[in-house]
Amino acid sequence: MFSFRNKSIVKLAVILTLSIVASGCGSDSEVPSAAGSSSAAATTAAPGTTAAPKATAAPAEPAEVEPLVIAVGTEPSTLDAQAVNDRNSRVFTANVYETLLTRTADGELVSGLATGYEAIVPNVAPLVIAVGTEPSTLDAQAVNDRNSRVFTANVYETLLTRTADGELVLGLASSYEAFDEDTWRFTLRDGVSFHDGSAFDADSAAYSINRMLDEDYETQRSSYIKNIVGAEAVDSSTVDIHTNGVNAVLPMQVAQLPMVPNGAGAELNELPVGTGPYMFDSWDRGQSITAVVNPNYWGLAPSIQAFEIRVIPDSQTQLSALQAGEVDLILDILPEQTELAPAFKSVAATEFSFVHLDTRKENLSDPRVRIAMNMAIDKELMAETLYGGFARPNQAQHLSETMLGYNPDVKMFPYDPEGAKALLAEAGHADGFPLTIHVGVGRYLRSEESAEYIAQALTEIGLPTTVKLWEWNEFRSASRVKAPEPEAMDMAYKWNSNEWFDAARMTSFATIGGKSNKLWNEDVTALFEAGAKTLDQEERHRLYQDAWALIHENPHAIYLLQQDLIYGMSERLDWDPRLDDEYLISGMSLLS
Amino acid sequence: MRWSNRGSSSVDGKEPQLETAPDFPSRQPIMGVVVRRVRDGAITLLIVVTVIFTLAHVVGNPAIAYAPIDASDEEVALIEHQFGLDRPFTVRYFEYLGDLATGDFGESNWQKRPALDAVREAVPATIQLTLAGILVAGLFGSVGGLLAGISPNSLFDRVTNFFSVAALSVPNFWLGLLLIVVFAVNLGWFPTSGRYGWSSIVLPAATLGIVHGGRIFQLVRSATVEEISKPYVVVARSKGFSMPVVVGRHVLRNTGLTMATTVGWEYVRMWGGAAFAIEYVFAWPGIGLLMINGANRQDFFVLQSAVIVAGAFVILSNLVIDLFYNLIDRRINSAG
Amino acid sequence: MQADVVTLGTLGAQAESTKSVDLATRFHLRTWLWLLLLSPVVLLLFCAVLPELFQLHDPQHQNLRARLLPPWSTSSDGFHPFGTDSLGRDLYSQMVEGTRLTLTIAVVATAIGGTLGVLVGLISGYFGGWLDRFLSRLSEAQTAMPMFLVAILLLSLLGPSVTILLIVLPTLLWPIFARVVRAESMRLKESLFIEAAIAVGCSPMRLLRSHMLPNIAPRILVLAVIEVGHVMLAEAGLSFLGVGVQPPDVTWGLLIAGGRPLLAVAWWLTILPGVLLAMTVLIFNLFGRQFERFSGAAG
Repeated sequence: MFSFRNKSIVKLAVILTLSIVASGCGSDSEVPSAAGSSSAAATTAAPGTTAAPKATAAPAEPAEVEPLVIAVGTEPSTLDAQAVNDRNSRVFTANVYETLLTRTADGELVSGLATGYEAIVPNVAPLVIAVGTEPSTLDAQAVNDRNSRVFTANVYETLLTRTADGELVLGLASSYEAFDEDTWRFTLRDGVSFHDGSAFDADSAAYSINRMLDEDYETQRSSYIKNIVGAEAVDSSTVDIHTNGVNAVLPMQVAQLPMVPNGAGAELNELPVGTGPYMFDSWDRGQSITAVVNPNYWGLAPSIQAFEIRVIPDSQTQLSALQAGEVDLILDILPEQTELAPAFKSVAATEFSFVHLDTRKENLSDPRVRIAMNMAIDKELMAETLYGGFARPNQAQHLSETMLGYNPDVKMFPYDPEGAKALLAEAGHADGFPLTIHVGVGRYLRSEESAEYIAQALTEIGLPTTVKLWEWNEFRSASRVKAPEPEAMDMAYKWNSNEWFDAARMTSFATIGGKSNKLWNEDVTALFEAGAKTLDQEERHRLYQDAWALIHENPHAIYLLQQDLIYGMSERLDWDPRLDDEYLISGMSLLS
Repeated sequence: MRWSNRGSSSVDGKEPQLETAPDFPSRQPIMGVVVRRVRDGAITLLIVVTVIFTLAHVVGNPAIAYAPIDASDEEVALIEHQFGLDRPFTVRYFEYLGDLATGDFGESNWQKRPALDAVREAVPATIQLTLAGILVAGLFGSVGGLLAGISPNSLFDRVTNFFSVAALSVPNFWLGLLLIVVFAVNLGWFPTSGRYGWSSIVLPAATLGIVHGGRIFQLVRSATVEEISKPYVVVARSKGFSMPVVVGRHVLRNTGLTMATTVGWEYVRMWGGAAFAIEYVFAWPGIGLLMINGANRQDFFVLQSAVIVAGAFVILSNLVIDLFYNLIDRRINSAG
Repeated sequence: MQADVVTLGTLGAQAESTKSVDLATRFHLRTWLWLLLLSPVVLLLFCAVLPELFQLHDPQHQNLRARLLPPWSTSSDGFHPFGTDSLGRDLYSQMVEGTRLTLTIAVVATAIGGTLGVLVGLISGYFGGWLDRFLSRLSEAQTAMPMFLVAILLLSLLGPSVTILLIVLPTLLWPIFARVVRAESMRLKESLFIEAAIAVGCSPMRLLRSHMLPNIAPRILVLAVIEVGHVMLAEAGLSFLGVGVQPPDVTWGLLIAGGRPLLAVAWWLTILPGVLLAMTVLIFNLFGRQFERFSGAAG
């Protein structure tokens, strides 16, 4: 009886005593260890005891397993890794906590607690913009009409570009200077590539510009390449643009020369490749053109992931589509329809309407006749009724106050039909003479009605006028025919946009030899040419002001209105219209 | 008699309401008929092509379309030479035929690609529209015409008859606009234009269906009226058979041929012009819209291609319907 | 001999004219219907000839402050039963103005096309043979063409104008007349009095002119009345597409086209001219059908 129980109790007492003695030796290492301790310590740990394993390890090998010690200046306030981000805490917490993804020593993002991940983009319907006419080509260098630019401006880029307020800023160029009298030097941004993977470098920049200069290349942007002779790559990131003498307006021109890949040709018509924030996706002829965001874009990633240009020829249908939520933006909404749109915005942009007069036509040669014609038109009435207030008379200059060259002393001709008749009589045309006003259909808002009104107004002062309608493309070329050609038009109703915010934009109209010139005035020509040759902005401003003063005495146009651009928008579109009639999706975002 | 009341002859796709019954084809071996019809169709196509060529090159001058309008006479002459337009007429004509045979229909100046591609892409849309339209027209016209015909001068007949005449009096493009105003703009039930989903075909098809349905109604009605005055119907009625039974068993079979061929010819008539006006109104991307856009841009090759393709389709359809009529009629006559 | 011919001829004519007596009775019963149909036509004719009598304003008079007024509005110029357009011009007066050109084009085109078609049909039906085959092949070829498209092609190449329209529209029209006349003349060729006239040696010209034509005339007239309506629709369609009549000429089709861009804000500009056009065509259609019944042409 005593032998078994007594033996056990004695054994227990001995072990207990030994343990107490042992634990007394290892009392300084009580911090729990996350990492496994040495296997020796583990196996010698007594079963059922809660003594820390190192207690047994410590006496075995004290010299080898000295723990790592890191000194910190301040004690962490908390060991909750989610709460703190200061280094002193992270020194500890980073070793105890882990994250789903983690970084290697080189900073590379790799898997951590997660084995894999993917971005799930929410299914937001792409932005849809309606246009009235389908672009004929997607080669940005070839076209300049709004319906094409809506697409190409988002896919291609230029060396210099404009902000929404019209300020000229750097684009694909990182700097530029007037290198010498007939050269401008542009330094190109690094790390930019085209959508097809090829690098954007000086060779492609030079190629792009030379392509537009090529005589055989047909482009609507011809007015932007005047006085540019050629471009050459100096090194891989520098390109020189050579001009015809001093060309003060080259930077403004450059902002309208899109960059294309080196060697690109006619394939751009259907497969556009640029450097822009969006890449071409598909073209369903007659229906729509789509684009998706460029994941390798060098700049800020836009918020809208995809967009579509939808061709809807009829403006009524465009409005219905807007109301139905099928499109987000329509570019030409009628003033009367603004109430019907979910949202609309208008901007007093850079559009100036006028009637271009051919000053060499016999009956129109006397400036008094043309001034009388200006006085016959009630521009306020036009702005108020035909345009529902979305326009205002312009000050007879194709410029607004903030533009370079604006002359505050030049004012619109007053509405004075009686005075007009008197002036006509003074010029020897008391009996009047017939006129025809030509207008291209479908391009500008209310162009036909405006022409009809002008015809009637002129008829009332004794100049019986008829209206002739043209198909738009025919009109463009026909309106450039000048007297004394028999087909030259007396009067052509046009709008002109001044997206340069600079009088130089009107050079083609004002200077002898310009494509649109019907003024034939040497003094004005001299002033405009001087304005293009000096880099002194103040002097340019004065020169152009003088030019406009001269033109005011001998007008080449019936000046009409500064037209607003009115847009119909969906409720989810967040966008402020630009002043320069460009539609950059990167500047838009979708609410909700 | 070959001049039966078929074909897309009339001015706007509609024919006078003269209720003549279709002619019977002659009793000739079927192969002979097929061969003859195909030959006729080919000749017709040749005439179409020739007319277009003559119009374009003799009456107009395609060089002008390609030259900028302020081009001098020398520049136009240069372009003429470039295009080979200053060679003799016969040379150009045969070269033209050769081009067409090899599928070269010219290059569209507007779209910067072969004109035939543009036309080919547009054809399915037109086919879809016309099929939907003829479905509606055929349904309403045939059923309505039959029902009206079996009870002539009843109230139902008078009312529907009047409406069918009204239906073919309205300008189809105007009707389309009216439907847009009511159902798309004001009620918002359907999209106002374009070819985007199933709902966008409703209004265009309805427009075509109403106008052409009126015509089908007229023809079916008159054929039915003629049929029920025939002795066998009178006899059957006097024996006590009710009208629906008589109709179902006999009248339908006999007028069925008329109905089918009327629907067929009306379908061809749509291709004669009505469908294209509707395409314009609804911005439906078919051949008609392509042609009108091409006309606005003076794109001659697109115009030419569209007319030839549409013409070939019309000729082919006429051929098919003729043969079908021939076949069915044979069966009836040999079985009857 | 000559006397016999005349007797025979008159016999035939008498045989036809006894029918007319019955028809006269039928006429009285339908007087109300005729008046109902005729009066709008007469009204339209007056509008075409003397538009000023019916217009409330000068159709070209602009009033920008009275733009886009809905029907039954009054402006500083006066009352506008159908509203005003984008320049403040009275729509009703424009519609009256457009009557002249619309009707003129329709009637003249039908006359030209009809005459041509009748000629072809008579020759074809009477003479037969290779001439008939050739002409019928020609007509079939034309009916097989999408004539509307060809019209667009032609008009866009030549430039749209009223003159060109008056050439294009009849070409769309003549096969219809030719077909009907051909069928009729073939039928008549077999008839007794024609055979008698031939036997007596009547010359083909005289035969066609004095014998066949008068008998075919009712049918031609019916066709003409109905086709006038169709030509109106065709012209409206071509003008609507922009290849027909051009401004400043006014037709109803152009008015419909002009109102289209403003469909959402000014429905009356498109819809009302279309109603007028539809009603006119409807009247012509009904008129033709009544006339058909009256003259027994269907019989």
